[in-house]
Amino acid sequence: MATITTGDFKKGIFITFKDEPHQIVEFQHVNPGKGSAFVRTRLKSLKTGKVQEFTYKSGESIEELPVETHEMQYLYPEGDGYVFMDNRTYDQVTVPSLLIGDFVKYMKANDTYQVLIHEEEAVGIRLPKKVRLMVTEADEGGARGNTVGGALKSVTLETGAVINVPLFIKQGEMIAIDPETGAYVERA
Amino acid sequence: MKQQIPMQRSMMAVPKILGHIRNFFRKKRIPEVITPLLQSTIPTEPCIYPFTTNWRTISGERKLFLATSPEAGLKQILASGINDCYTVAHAFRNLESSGDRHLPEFLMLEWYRKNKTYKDSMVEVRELILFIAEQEKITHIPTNTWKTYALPDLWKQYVGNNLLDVLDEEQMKRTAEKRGYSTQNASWEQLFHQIFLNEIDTHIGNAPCYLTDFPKKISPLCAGQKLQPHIAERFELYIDGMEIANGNTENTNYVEIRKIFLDEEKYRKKHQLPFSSIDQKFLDALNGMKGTYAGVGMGIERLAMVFTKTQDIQTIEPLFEK
Repeated sequence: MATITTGDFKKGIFITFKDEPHQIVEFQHVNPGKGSAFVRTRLKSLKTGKVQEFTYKSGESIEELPVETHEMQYLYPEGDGYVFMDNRTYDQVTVPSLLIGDFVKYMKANDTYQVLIHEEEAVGIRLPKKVRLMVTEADEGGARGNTVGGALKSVTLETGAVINVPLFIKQGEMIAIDPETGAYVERA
Repeated sequence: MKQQIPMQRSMMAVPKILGHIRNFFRKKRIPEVITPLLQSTIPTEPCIYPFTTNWRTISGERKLFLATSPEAGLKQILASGINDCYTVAHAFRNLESSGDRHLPEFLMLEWYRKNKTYKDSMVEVRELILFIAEQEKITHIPTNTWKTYALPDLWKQYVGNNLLDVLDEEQMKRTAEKRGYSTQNASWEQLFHQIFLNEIDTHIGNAPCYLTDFPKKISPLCAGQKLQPHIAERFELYIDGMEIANGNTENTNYVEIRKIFLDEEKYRKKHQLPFSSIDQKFLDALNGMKGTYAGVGMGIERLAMVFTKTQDIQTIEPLFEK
C-alpha cells in the first residue's frame, strides 16, 4: 500500500475509504467561499458497487491500493458476474456485474479486455478509450435525410446495445464508441 | 438590423446580466465605481491568495498583486465619503484549482450600503436576482419566500451537537474524530468545512435559500452579533446547491483586523504562501468608515449558470483560463 495525497487523485484509482476498498469514479476541487481547499469525490465500493460522495481536505493523506492489470479474454456471463480468462495462464476470474456497470453493453465474447485485480480478486475493467463494434440493425430509410444539423438515428450494435449515430452509418459497418459516455466516435 | 442574442447563448449570459445589474442600481441611484486590479498590497484574509506580478521600470522593480476581490478598493471609496456604491470587477484567486463551479479568474459584483445590516442585504440580493429574472423572462427562479437556515440549527440537525460548543480546537477535533475524519495537521476551519461539505451541504437542495449565523472565527471581516458575539452577521445565498453570494455587516474594527492580517502574514511566511505586506490602505479605510455598512459579493458566472441552467462554469466563460 502506498500513501498518496489528494494531489495524486486520478479517475479510476483505488483507495481505502472507511477501511474498505473503493475506486475514485470522479473528483472535483472545491473552494468554499472563504475557506481552504477541498476535493469532492465519488467513490465506488468494491464490496457493494454502491457509489457515495466524500469530500477530502486538500492535501489529506490516503492509502492507495495496489491493483494489477491483466489482459484477459471475456468468455461468458455467469450468475451475477462475467467470466474472463488469462490466455497465457488459463486462470479464470469472475468480475461482479456491479463493478462492470454499463460497460457490459459493449462487451463481446472472445474479445480481450484489461481486467483489474486486487488481492487476487477481479475488481473491474479498465475502460478502453474506444470499442469497435458492428452495426447489426440500422434503419436505412433515414439515411438520406437532412444531414446539415448533424441529425442522428439510433442503431443496434452486435452486443445488443442501442446508440445514436450519424445518419450515414449503415448496417454491417464497424464503428467506434466511447464506452464511458456511450457516444459514437467514428467509423472504424 | 438590430441583433437580438438570447441569454441562452452561454457567452452572452454574463454581459446581459451586467446590463441588468447596472439598470437595477441606476434605479436605486447607487453609483458604479471602478476599483484597481493591480495593487501594491492586498488584504491578507485567511485562505484567499493572490497572483503576484512584477512591475519593471527604469528605476527598478516592484511586486504587485492582482485583486482577489474589489473589497479593498470599495472600502477606500466608502471612507472617502461615498455612502453607497457598487462595482463589477475581475477577481483572481491563486492556489485554488478550477472545477465545474470555479475558475481562477471570475467576475464579482460587490456593493455596499450605509446604515444597513446583512438582513437588509438579504432582501436586496433577492430583489436584484428576481429583477434580472423578470427582465430576461426567466421563470425557473422561485419567487415565493426563500428559506433561511441558521447554521447552528443545521449543525444540530445533521451533526448532532451544538456548534457553539465546538468553537475551540479540541472540541472540533473530537467531533471530527468521532465522525471518522482524519484530524492530523487539520485546522479548526478545515474540519468545520469538511463536516459542513460532507454532512450539511448535501442537504441544502436546489431551491434558493440563505445560510446565516456563521461562526465569527471564520468570518474575520464580518461584524459579530450583539447577542451572540461568536456568531457573525453574515449570510450566504445558495441556488442550485451553489454559493452565489456572500454578504455581511462590516467589521470596521481597525485593531482587530490588523491583528488578523499580522497573524496571517506570519502564517504565510512560515508556510511559504503568497502574501503582501500589511494592506495599510485597507486598514486606514476602516478608520474612515463611520457608521454601519452592509456589503455583498456575488459571483456573476455562477449566477449566469443558474439563469441558463448550465452545469459547467467553463461554458459561461469559455475564454478564461481553467
